Amino acid sequence: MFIASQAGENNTLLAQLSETEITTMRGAIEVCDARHGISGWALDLSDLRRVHVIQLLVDDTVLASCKTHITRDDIMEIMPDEAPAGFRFPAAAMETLRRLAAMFGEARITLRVEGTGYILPHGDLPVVLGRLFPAAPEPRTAEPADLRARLQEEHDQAQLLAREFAYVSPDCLPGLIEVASVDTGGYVWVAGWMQRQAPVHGPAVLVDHQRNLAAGYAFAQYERTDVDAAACGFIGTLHVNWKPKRLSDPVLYLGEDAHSEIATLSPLRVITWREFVEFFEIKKDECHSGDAAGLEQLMKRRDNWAVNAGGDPEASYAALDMVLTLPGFGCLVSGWAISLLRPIDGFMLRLGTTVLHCDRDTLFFKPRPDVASLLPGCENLLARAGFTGVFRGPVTFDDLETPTLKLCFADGSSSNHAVDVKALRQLGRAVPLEAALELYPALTSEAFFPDFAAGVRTEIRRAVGSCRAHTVQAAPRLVVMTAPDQRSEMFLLFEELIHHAGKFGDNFGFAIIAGTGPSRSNAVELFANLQARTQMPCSLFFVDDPDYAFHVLPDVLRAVGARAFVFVGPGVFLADAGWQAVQSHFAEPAAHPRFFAVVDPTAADQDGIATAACFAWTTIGFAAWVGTAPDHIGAFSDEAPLPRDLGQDSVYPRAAWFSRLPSVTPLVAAINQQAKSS
Amino acid sequence: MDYAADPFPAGAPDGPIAVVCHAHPSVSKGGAEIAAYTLYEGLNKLGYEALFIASVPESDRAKLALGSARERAVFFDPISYDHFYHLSTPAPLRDLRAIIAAERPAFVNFHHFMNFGIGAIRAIASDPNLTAVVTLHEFLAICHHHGQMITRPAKLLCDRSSPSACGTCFPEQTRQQFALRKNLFMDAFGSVAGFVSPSRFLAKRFTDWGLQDEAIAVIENGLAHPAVRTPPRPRHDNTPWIFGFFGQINPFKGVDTLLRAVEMIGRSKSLSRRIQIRIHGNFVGQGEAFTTRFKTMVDDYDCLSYAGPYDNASVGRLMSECDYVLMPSTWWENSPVVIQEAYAAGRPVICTGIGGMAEKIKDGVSGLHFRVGDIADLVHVLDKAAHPAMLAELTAGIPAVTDAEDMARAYLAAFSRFRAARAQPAPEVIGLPVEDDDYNSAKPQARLEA
Repeated sequence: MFIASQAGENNTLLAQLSETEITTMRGAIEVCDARHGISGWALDLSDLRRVHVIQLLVDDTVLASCKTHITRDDIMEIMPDEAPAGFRFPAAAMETLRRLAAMFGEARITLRVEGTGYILPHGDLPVVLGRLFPAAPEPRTAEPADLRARLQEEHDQAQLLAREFAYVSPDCLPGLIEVASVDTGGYVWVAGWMQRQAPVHGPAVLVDHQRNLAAGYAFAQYERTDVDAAACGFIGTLHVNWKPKRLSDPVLYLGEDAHSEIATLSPLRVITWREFVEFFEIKKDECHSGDAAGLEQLMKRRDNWAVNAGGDPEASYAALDMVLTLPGFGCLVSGWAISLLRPIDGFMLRLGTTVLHCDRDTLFFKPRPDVASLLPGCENLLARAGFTGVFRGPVTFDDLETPTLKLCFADGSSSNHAVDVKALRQLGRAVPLEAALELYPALTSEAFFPDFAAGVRTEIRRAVGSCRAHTVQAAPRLVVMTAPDQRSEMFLLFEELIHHAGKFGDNFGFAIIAGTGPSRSNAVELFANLQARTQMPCSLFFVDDPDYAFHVLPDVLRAVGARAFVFVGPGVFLADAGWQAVQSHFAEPAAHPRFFAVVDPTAADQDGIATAACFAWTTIGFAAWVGTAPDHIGAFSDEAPLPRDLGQDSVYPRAAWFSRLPSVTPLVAAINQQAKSS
Repeated sequence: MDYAADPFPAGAPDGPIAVVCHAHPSVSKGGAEIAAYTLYEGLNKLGYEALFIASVPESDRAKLALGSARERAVFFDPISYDHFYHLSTPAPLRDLRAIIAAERPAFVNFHHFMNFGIGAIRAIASDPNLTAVVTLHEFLAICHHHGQMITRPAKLLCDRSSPSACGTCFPEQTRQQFALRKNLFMDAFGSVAGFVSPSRFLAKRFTDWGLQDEAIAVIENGLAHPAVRTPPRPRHDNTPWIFGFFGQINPFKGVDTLLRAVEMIGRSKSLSRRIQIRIHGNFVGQGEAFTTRFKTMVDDYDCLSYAGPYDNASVGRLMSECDYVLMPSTWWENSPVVIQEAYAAGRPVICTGIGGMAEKIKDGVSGLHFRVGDIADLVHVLDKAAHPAMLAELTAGIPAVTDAEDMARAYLAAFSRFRAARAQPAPEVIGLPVEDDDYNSAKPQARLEA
């Protein structure tokens, strides 16, 4: 009795009934090769509905089994009431055979119906392991590169195909791309259904809105009960210069003759990479054709950041406790990582679209007994489970999403671990700079400190931004005062301004730089009163942090059109001598800065210190200098960063008072000192 | 001070006299506003054109009752006032300026800088067309702790301010801020022609602080309506001696001291039969623990009673129902009106022997002193006072009280002296070398002292 099967692969056999045995079992091995796996059919004539378990034996050792769960149209035409008689061993079984072939090349493969003793006939199919896998087994670690290289090669082959492509009617019903995704390395991944006999890899042409695009593809096939018998499900990747969108309507033409066609579900369902990986995890063991293992390895490659996509998630654990980010520099990171099976070779961190590498020279380790409950009995691993390191890279403050830590293993593989976004802290914004000292107590002595310091200065300068003008009135000679955030101090400032305003003649103006803190409304009201009480041009500007009024001084001077100015920074009030000195400065502005020495009013016997918190200059002189000057951070405790001329008229003694003594932390002082010395 | 002499030897003032106060007595009953209003009434009685200008919170508009056509109110928002430097937002000064521009007073007597702000005094006092005088009612310019010169949080008596000492009491402020605060006050007071203090004690504190001694006149606060002096209460052998406390029931006024004294008295049957402490006043801003303890003790001790709140009109009668008036304050006090009221009623005063109290009440003459916080000494003094001979001796030593007209005469004399003595301020010289100290020395009252 012959049961015809559809034409297709050369290895498909016509089933034959054995006439040598008295048995009601019937079946055959139809496909047996490294690429397409092992498949066939089996049924019991006395119980057509019975589902059988087919065992795969190598020299009498059962290595795998599967059930007869595939509907066969050809058999159903004859026996419509039967249960599915087809079977297909999953790709994992082929993987097992491949590994054994290297050691047991002469071993024979047999398929047996469990519980019956019935051996399925194999016809001419190679059933000796060495013949099934004639080439030497490929090293596992080389697989990702091989598949990528193959995809690249097939993509290159497709270039000519795409140029010369002309549509022809397909030989058979087309398939359908149902979902698509893009991984972080740029590969397009697709899944859907296709004609079973279509090639599972090779060159292809993707036609999208009359554009012909060269592609290389690699698919793995699995069974689907919702498509006809000539079709099956597929999942795989395309190496193509194209990105799927919801309204994409591509058609994929497979193979060197571009005859096999796969259309696209409309609208196309574009899913996240994580969702696609989860889908693949479900389907990979069902794949019977194609290179599922190679696809899996491609997913695990190091430029793939899908969490749990690489490595065995049960064998490695990691979490980050603190990620101190500094835009332009990178991150200072502390956490813990344990890998049961593979030594950890390094770390990478992805924040948003930025990938950071851990600087090995900054890595140090410490015990983490607190994670012992995860891995009892692994004291050696726990002894160095905690790590701290600097991850360098161009982090930006607005691209910190989906943080992911990658453990890089010595064998080239990696595993990805989601990082709790709550571990992220932006230095200087969310936490003070001194938080960095918790991770690196000797921060100022570390080799990366100059870059860190530069990053801090740049970031603070960026964070300060520019000021926002509330009221602007032109004044060629300008006294710029910084309104303190503290309410009492603000009242005092405006009281002093009103009191002294009457001493000034024409062409003098005041500019107030106030903060956007709780006292903002006081600033607006008191400024209005200042305008009403004086005849002088008055301007008001707002900045987020008035401690950095110095940084926005160029913007203020430009807006007001000042040619000479006196700047009074936060926490400083002009004394009577200072108000007189203002007059002196404007009478004859100097080409160099003049300092208004600021005194601690509780220490009567001091002349005060020359500090950039209170100085006078011409706008041109200041503008020429500020463009090249390093950014200073924190309070001004000395004249830095301004250039100091020790000429006779460069310091007005006891000209101003501190309402609070300037203080800088040692770290800030070191950052500023580093700027001076660089 | 010879109150009978012509207060203005040179003739009547060339304009009204504006009495400016931080509150109106119809809204609040503090000593400063009562004294200020008494002065205003005294000036009116003497026939001088006077003006009473008070700042009133917007929320108290409904309470305000102006007593005459020459009273003005400047409304303000208490939220818009800085209580450290004592500076206000523009509105109160703007309105005050408007009134002064309209009325053109010859003298402006500030009875406080609160609510208008010290900047208002500096601005008004700089007007060359008027003479500004400031009456000091407590130490607020010196001490940020409610102007009482009591340390915080220990509530110990403080003798002298300094930036470091004040910074210790208020660690939330810097020492430098206290120095700037003093400088601001000194600069504002430098524009003022003179000062009035109701007590020598307070005047001395301000001269120690930096004001010139000759710029301060000591003038007692008068009573607007002095009570009729009554003879001592009739007594029998077993009539208990009644010691009356009058005032706000708060720890600064020493009520806690009295309660502890009551506990000690209660342990002695003989004392508790002879001595009765009667408390008059209201609980303002007191915690629940204090109030509960007070009420419990009133219930538990026969020698303690609570007579409830009182108003100024009945204080004379209430005091006449006592043998002595108690003033156990734990802070310096300046010139408490209670002392004048007690004298007016003919009652000697037993007080803590410190500050303005000790000045106004002569120990063994018009009253008795006890050591501050010393309960045993207080009880001993009460025991000593509870004898007819002592009462008679002390009653005989009670001085005459000042009334509103006496007060006004004294003020007018001071105004006249201050105006005559006021040196014109040196004109602002532009372009002086900054090393020249002559500029700073031209205004000695405004020199910053550490």
